[in-house]
Amino acid sequence: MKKNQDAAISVKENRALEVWRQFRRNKGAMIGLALLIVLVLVAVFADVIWDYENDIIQMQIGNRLAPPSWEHPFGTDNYGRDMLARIGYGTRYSLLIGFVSVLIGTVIGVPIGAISGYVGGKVDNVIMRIVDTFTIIPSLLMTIILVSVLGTNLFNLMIALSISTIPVMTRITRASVMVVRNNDYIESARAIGAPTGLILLKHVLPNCFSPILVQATLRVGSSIISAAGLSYIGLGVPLPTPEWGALLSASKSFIIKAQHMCLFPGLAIMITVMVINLVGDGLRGALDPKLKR
Amino acid sequence: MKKLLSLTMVLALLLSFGIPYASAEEYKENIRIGTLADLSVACRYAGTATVTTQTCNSTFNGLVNIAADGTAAPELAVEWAPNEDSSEWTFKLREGVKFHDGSNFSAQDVVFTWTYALSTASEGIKQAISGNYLIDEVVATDDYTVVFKLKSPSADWLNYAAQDILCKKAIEEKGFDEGSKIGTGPFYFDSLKTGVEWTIRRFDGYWGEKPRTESITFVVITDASSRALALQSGDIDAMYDGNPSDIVDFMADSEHYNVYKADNIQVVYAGFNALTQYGANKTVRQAVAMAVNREELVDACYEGGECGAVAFNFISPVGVGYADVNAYPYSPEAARKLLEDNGLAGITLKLYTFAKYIPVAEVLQFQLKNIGINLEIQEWAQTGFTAAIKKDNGYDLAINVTSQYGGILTVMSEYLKTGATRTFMNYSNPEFDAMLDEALASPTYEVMLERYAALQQYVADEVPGVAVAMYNLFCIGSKNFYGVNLNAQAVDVDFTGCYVVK
Amino acid sequence: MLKYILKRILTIIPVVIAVSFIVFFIMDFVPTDPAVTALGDGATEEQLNYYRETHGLNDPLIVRYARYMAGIFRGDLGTSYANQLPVWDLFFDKFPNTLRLALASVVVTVLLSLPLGILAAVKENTWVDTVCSTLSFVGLAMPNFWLGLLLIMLFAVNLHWLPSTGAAGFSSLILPAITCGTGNMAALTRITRSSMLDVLRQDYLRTARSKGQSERTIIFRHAFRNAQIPVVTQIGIQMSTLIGGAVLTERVFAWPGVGAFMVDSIQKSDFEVVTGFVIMLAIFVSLVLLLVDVLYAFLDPRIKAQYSRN
Repeated sequence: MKKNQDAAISVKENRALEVWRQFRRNKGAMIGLALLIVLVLVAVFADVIWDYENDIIQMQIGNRLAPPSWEHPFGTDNYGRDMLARIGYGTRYSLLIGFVSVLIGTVIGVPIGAISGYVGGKVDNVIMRIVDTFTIIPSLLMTIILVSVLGTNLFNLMIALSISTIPVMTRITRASVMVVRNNDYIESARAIGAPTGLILLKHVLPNCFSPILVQATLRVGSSIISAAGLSYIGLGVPLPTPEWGALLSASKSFIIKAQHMCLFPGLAIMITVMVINLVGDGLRGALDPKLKR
Repeated sequence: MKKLLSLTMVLALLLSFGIPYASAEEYKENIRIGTLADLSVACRYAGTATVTTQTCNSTFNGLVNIAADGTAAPELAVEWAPNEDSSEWTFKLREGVKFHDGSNFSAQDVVFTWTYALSTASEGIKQAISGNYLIDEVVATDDYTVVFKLKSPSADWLNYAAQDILCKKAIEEKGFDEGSKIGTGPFYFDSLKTGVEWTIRRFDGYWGEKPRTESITFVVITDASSRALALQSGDIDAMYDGNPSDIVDFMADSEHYNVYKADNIQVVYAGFNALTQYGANKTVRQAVAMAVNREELVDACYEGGECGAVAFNFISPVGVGYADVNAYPYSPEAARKLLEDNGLAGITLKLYTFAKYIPVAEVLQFQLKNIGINLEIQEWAQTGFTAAIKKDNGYDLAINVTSQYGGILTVMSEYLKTGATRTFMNYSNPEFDAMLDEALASPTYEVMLERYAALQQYVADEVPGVAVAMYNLFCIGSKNFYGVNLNAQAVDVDFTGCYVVK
Repeated sequence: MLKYILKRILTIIPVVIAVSFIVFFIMDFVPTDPAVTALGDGATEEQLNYYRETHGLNDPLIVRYARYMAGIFRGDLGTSYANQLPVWDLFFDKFPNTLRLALASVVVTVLLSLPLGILAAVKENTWVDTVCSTLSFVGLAMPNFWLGLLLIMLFAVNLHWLPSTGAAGFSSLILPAITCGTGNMAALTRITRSSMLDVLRQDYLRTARSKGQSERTIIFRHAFRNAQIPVVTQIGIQMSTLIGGAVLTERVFAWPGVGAFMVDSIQKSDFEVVTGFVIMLAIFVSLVLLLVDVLYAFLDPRIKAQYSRN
């Protein structure tokens, strides 16, 4: 018995190693992963690198709108605060919002999709019609309405953003489940009377793992951009949080005079999302046997 | 032959000088002015938006016109006199004045305006005429004489007499929506493209001096940077208001731009909500007043004094009857101590405001953090702000600006008196009310000014709100743009006289 | 075929009902008061209450919703609280602008993506391929409102070539269209590339090559034609997203479209406008998707047969 378990474990290990090896071959994905680790470290250790009181919110009116220099590589904002510190500190908000909102969306969307795909029939129909309805409402508007209702703070923002992730995760889970559902070993599991929940959990979902993971990773990027967009129109995080979208919003009034205020926060968003997408793309390539070179 | 040649040359020379004179139209027919919002109503009693005011300055007349120095000049009234105690004012009206729709102006229109616009119960009236609570009766003793009978003496009634006179015939026949646009001013309201622009056109039947410009188009450019860009590229001839950071650049480029700057009658203030626990607490208010570093705020938000000035008083220095006050000085240590001694250290205050005053709010947030108060800022869209203020008492503080009709009386009565409607402060202090009534009942103008001065000092001591800054009125035009009247008494900007030299 | 189209049009109705209910329900919780929006600053509590009574704002949600839907089926989309104008008029005042922007963006996307995708496919695995893919990656990662700001900084502020706001004329359409269009480049480039790759490897192309047709003809006649379906799908998705979702771009460029107006209305709690607009958008999006499906039928006779069978 133990031998079988060992064999089963090492199959999983092998699979993971296999994926890693595939991933490693993708240069873009590796660069992305390296940068992502840097970003995560910056986000986690932001309080160590900078002092919130002095670097992030201390106003130094005498030094407002200073262009990039050695002392302030990204310049200063309209209150004299160092842009590099604010942007660096803002990493934690974007990453947090991105990952958590997708996590929430996945945790809610995947079970719904699984049930819909597995059970099929009327249940599937009803669930998919509901999902379709939410898809027809433009997601940004939906998010805006939700934030207006719930109030603007970090947590509500994450909830509101997860709402647009749920339909995507539901769809992708459903599609994968529908493919896997008809597999032989699932049939046999059903034949011997295994409970549906168990089948879903142990056999069906693990096989859908890849597309779900890939889709989730890609959604992180769009969540980050949506969060920045909401902050841009003032519906995101409260002042004086140095979230990147909020920094872009503040730069609006100085678009003629201090363009550095607009340039750098946007670059930060772009690089972060690119990095995450590279990793997601690498995962997609590594996990999909069809794309093996 | 030579004589003929020289004669021809002289003739040619003369002609070449003569022709330009013959076609002397030196002014541009249509001026485009970039403004900051869309026009929703074209009548001051239907809305208080800045753009409404700007338009109505040119399309309506009042009985008198208040100049920048506070003196009154005849407009629809040619003569006027109060009775002994200023409780009755008689106005002799100008004859031969026509409204834009051709109907004749008479005392009936004055009576109609001062009856219809007296309260918001009348259809379409959203902002009642100022001074309405002083009116006892308005009577037309003949076609061109009107008597205002007031409930109590008012030495400065002329300020109220400057308000727009509506056209009775137009409103009664066409309804308020259409009829309220008709006035007696030098321009008439021509057309409106929602969200894009609106145009006013020179009224040929105007009783007074005709404007030099044939039509003025107000172009809606809500984003201040875009407005500056439009001015730079020549899309518009002038722009109203803008980002302080852009304005200073225009000011520095006097070769290409004419910058018109004036002191404003409006004062930016952070007002407390007297209905909340902290808003009602004088210690908290004093501490906040002592935590505000106005210089720093003006530096940060109004380009170091180029675009604004510090303010200690709810009344602007431009306001008639302004008196210097001793406000609480900037002393963060004292403020911190005051809070600690009273067990109020570390409290959280909620602040509501809208986009325009977010920079002020941010600086305030930072300065309050210095004394241990945590300020939470909630930003609203401007209309949302109005609604949010009315809805509940979820705010301890809010930042806004005093009214453009900001004479002392307006500010005192409509902002600080019990039951005041123009603001969110909910301030109710019987002592203040008594002082105000006493001031209003002053026998002479000099006594009134004295009592007003005392009132202003009282307000500075009680701090129902902290006045922080007065931001300047700006109109920036191309180098050929002239004639704009930034008369705070005329209420905001008056574009009636502007023109562009070709 | 016609029956298929009719059936699809009929399915729009339940969608409208569902969408409107969701929006109506959620908007109910927005914490501003339409009565205040309508009556403004100077209104007293009495007047507000009177307004609420006469406009049925105090009735329970279901009653208000039923009343609203009854109006919809009569063709009456309601009236805005903020400016007393009919929602129908407001929508058709702004929608042409949104449509213009959406179409222009699609044009930009197509003009950028198709060449890039084709190039990447033809030069598969070379540095050209990598560059093209990276470019489309960049487009995907850039927040489109930031791109808008950058374009304004470059073309309006620094160069003064193009205006930064407004909707007057063609020149003010350029920057917003590029902003929206570039963001959607990635998907279309990728799809074009993979469609082209798939087809480039097909047998019939080998046959065509052996018959001596030039490389270019092969590419543009056979491969391109077969990539049409996924490309059309992608364009359809892009159109339908842009119709309601270009909010941020509209804000940055002050483009008087539907999205920005809706956001303003949400914040004023003008829920007749919001619900009315969402319904109209849902209808138009459904029509766009239907149009895409109909286009399939024209492009691929097999699909047309499938529709007729159903």
